[in-house]
Amino acid sequence: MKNRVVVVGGGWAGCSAAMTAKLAGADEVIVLERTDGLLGTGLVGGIMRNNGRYTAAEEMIAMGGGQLFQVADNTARHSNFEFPGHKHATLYDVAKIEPAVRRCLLEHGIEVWLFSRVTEIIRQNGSIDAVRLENGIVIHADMFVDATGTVGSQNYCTEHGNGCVMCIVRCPTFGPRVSLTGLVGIPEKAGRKKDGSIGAMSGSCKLNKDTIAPHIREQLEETGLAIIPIPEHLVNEKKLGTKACQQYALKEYADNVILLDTGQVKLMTSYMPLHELRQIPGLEDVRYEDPYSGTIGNSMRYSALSPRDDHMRVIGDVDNLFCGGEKAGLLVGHTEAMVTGALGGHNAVRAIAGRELLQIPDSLSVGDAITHVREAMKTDEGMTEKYTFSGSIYFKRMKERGLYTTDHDRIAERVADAGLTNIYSQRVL
Amino acid sequence: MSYMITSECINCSACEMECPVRAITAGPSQYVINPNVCIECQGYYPEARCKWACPVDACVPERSSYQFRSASLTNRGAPPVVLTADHPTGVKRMPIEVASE
Repeated sequence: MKNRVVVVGGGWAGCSAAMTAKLAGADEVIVLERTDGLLGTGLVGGIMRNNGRYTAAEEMIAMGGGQLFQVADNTARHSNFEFPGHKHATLYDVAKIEPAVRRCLLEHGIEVWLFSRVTEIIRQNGSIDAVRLENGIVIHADMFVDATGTVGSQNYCTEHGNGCVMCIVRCPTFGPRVSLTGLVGIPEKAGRKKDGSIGAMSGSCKLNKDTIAPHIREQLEETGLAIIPIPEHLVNEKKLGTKACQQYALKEYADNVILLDTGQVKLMTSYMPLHELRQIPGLEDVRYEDPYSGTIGNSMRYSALSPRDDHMRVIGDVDNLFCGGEKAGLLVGHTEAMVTGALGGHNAVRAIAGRELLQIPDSLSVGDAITHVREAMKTDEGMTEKYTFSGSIYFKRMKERGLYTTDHDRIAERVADAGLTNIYSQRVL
Repeated sequence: MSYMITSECINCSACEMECPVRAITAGPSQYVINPNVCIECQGYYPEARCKWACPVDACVPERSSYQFRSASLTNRGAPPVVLTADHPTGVKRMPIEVASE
């Protein structure tokens, strides 16, 4: 009998989980994705390797799980690039990344199912026996990975944000995400704002590049970055506290619009009324690419976090469910989704093999982040924070603990000391 | 058959007050007609009273096509598109055995 791992959700975390599950020797790995393509909100992101994310990416490469990081590097528009508060970033091209990731998965023998929204589970005692898609198809598997994310639905964005802003998630067309953990009946937690209310808003928008003044466009394409001072009457510092991406909650970001070239133009703010944006020199004719209603707000995130251990196993009345990505905690970003997803996918195969589950030690930033965030989320205050390798409180911790480095040899040495060199590329089954 | 209220609804409540069988209630984002109660005003008025009352023409005979398109794609029964290494743009038959259960 062939074994099978089903990954629910085809964002960065799900793709990463599928990769490590396949590399670890699962016979069949299937990614079930709700929409018409992979990567979810990764389709509008693009920032890799900034600050401590560099260390995390290199740790993943040294551990043999760096394939998708290399795909992102290969589609980069700008590498080793600096913007306020952030060093040695890579910006991948948001238009080129999805086909590149899709090919990488397929070449590794992973099946990708599109229009495959899981809306029901079939249980057998303490296990998930199968998942049922909205159109009735039932898929059995030995292990499941919940990589359904925490964004939306429309109702959630209406309740806790500024309404549906028509973002890349496209709930009305494909149906909002459904949490696998939730279907099992395990209570989930929601991230909170500083004032204690529920919700965190995505931190960046995409602008159409052709609608930006030619001299800014040229600067962006050449250097990757444009910083334009916001006319004084528009500066609104209060907005920074509500962002999911705390690493960009810096004063530079309140006084200026910061634009990055990720193919389209990434605007480093949650939202801004179009008529205000158009008062900024060079943006007189600008329009939004994502979310379409960036005028009023952005997507709301961290609505449904799975309780999990440091092996990425979901804790609750189920024995064959792992998680990754935003489900795994208040971890912000592609890199963070990839490292947690990778561990979830790998351990799903270890569980099939009956092997001891992998825990990454805190001598590596990847392991430390996974453990630290789980611990921090036990407190109310911790639930109002966001954690990322790239800034804010977690990057500070990385530096304090001496984890942050861009020295490849040192990182390889640390991974070797932990006994984890190429751990992700070795079969366990 | 019954009447329905489209998203044109401006929440004015005119239909609710006119409905002879009280089929109309305030929904989460707009007024809605309970199709099990609505009788299209047969026996009460020559035409549907909500349609007559509505200032924005949001009360219309229920059209299944509208309901269909307001559902998500997979809710309408769209089959999965399955991509594999041998068929990177999609396979016709499911590569794995799937139960219909």
